[in-house]
Amino acid sequence: MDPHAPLPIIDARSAPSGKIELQADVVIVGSGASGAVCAYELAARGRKVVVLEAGGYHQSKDFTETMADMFGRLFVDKGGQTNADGDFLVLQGQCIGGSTVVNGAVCFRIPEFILDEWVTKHGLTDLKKEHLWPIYERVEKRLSVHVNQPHEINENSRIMERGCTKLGWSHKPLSRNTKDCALTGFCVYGCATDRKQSMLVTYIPWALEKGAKVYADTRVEQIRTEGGRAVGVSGRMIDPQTGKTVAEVKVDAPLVILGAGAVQTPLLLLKNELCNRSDQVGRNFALHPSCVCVGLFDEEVYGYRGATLGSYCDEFEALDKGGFILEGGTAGADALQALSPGFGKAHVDFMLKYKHMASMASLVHDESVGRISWDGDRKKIEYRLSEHDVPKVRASMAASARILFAAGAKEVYLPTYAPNIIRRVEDIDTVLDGLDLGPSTVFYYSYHPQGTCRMGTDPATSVVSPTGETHDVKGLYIADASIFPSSILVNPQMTVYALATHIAEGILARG
Amino acid sequence: MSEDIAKKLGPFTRRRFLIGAIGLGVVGTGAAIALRPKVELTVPAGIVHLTAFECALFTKLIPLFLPTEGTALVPPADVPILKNIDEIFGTLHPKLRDDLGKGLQLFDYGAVVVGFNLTRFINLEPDAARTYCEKWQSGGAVQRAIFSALRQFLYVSYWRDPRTWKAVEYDGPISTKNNLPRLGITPLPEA
Repeated sequence: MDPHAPLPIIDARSAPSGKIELQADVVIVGSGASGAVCAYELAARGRKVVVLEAGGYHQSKDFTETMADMFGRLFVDKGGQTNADGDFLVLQGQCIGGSTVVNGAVCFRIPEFILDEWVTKHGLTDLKKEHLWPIYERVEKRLSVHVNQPHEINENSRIMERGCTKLGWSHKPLSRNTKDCALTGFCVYGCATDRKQSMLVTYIPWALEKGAKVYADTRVEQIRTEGGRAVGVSGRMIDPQTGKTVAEVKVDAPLVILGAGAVQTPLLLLKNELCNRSDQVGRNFALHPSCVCVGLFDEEVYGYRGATLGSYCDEFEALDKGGFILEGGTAGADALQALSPGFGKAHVDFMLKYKHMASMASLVHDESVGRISWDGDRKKIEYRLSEHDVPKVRASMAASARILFAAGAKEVYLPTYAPNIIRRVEDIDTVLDGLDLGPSTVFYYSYHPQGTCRMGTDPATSVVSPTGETHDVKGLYIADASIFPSSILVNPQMTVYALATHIAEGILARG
Repeated sequence: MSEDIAKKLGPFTRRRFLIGAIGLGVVGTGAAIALRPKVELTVPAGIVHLTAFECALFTKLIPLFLPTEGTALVPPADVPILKNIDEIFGTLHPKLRDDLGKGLQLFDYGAVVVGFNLTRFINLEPDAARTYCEKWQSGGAVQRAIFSALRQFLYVSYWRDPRTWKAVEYDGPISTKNNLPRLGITPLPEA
């Protein structure tokens, strides 16, 4: 296969109008972290695989490295998906390759204390470290996962490291799935030079090479069952420009794998009134809250130059120390503007100091308190921080501020709706203790929605079994982050790859 | 922007506008005249999704939000902010679009009932308009949500324009500019 040729993906531009009817051994809904891995693993072992992706097929040559263009093309709801309160931006990819195309390339294995909880509390005894670690290792090798080398840690992350060192706090370089990273800093708008080893340049083309068929612009609406068994799916291929149906799509297959992500997968099940005997579909939703604190420095930082994410502070990773990590990274002016304190002159003054800023993002291990459901014909994402998570978020902001001040910041801007600027390290606790963290107070975002169809041994409290097959419908599997029994604290892509590999190998082993 | 903002606006709308309606009933036609927009409401050429009122509201907000005079920042008049906002509105789910319209109306008429001399926001003088915005920025959850949405629409629509980047020394896209080679797809893994 010519590495620079367009992939043989059928989309609204290339498909014949009318009806598309296909037979396959396996039909997979979604082409992101889970769908792509399952597609390749099953196609490589001779299964006839069809992948249906709701988003479009976009080649990296069309990635413009601007937020306005790429949010519009690559993200669910053009990057405007929020919770019901509107204070959490829920960012998910919707394109061939899914969220792996728009993530920050950060790779972690699941923290062992969380895996232990999955094994002991949720009965996932098949997922012990001895089983999962070799899978992680194999995927990491395929995706060029490596610890960031010194040239991959930019000035923004160096500042974070400097602050941590002064405070005596632990920090480490992040690991990323990049190959010869060009250090452009545009991971989240799609890697224009194919350095990030997303599914768009790895597992999807590999699956195609092994004979899988991939359809973009195709929204699955119906999961068809007969006698308690999945027999296929139906949906429509929609022209993204006009919104009109190009073709009715029907795939007959004895195995259906859902990999549409933690929001769309439960919505599809709820729409079809499937797999919800336990009333757990859509529940146990975790958002893995993130927010960004910005420090202002005398020196010129140009924090957006270089690799998107360089290092992280793991001082507070353990639950009894806080249950959060902090990652050093910032954004372009077209995105960072959202964090200016206030409006008018305050905004103008903030942006004029842009090159002097360094920032860090917190990732908080949250409780699975949210819920995905339908409100008429609209999806509803209900999520508010639990009372146990509020102190964690507060502590993560305090730790960020301490690191930034220790590194020499003159001011620290909190990501709050009302302006909150801390000018002295002595004021951190006073400001944060007085901060209301209720709805519409903090600019939160989440790249890591998870939960909603959790895995477990008990059909009364979970949706899928440890094999990934749903308890209620034979032949219907779920392989995406919706099966996480709990929030995993760190960036989840590697764990989705590992679980998807585990599920695909289980299907193959059972014949 | 909130998906169920209309629901949340309900109690606020009923409570505050009841007070407002009583007040307006007392002052009668005088109030009706006062509530007329000072400027003629029209939809500028090229705007497809925004109403005339919404255009007036955003036009009123732009100089308040982007006072660039005397700075290196590009004047907002040189950036098609309204057109960019219009484009975003065109992508919204109809129900969300409807909710948003109600939120903007609430923001505008809120000034009538919270102590701005029975004056709509779009009729306020600049200093009063700025004070009004500050109140919403730090107000209740609904006010903060609406104000935050206004803020995001305006600033995203300004800063998305590459002409605004030079003033803050943001490089913008670099792969094409630096002729960085694309690696293409990664070869199949070894078995």
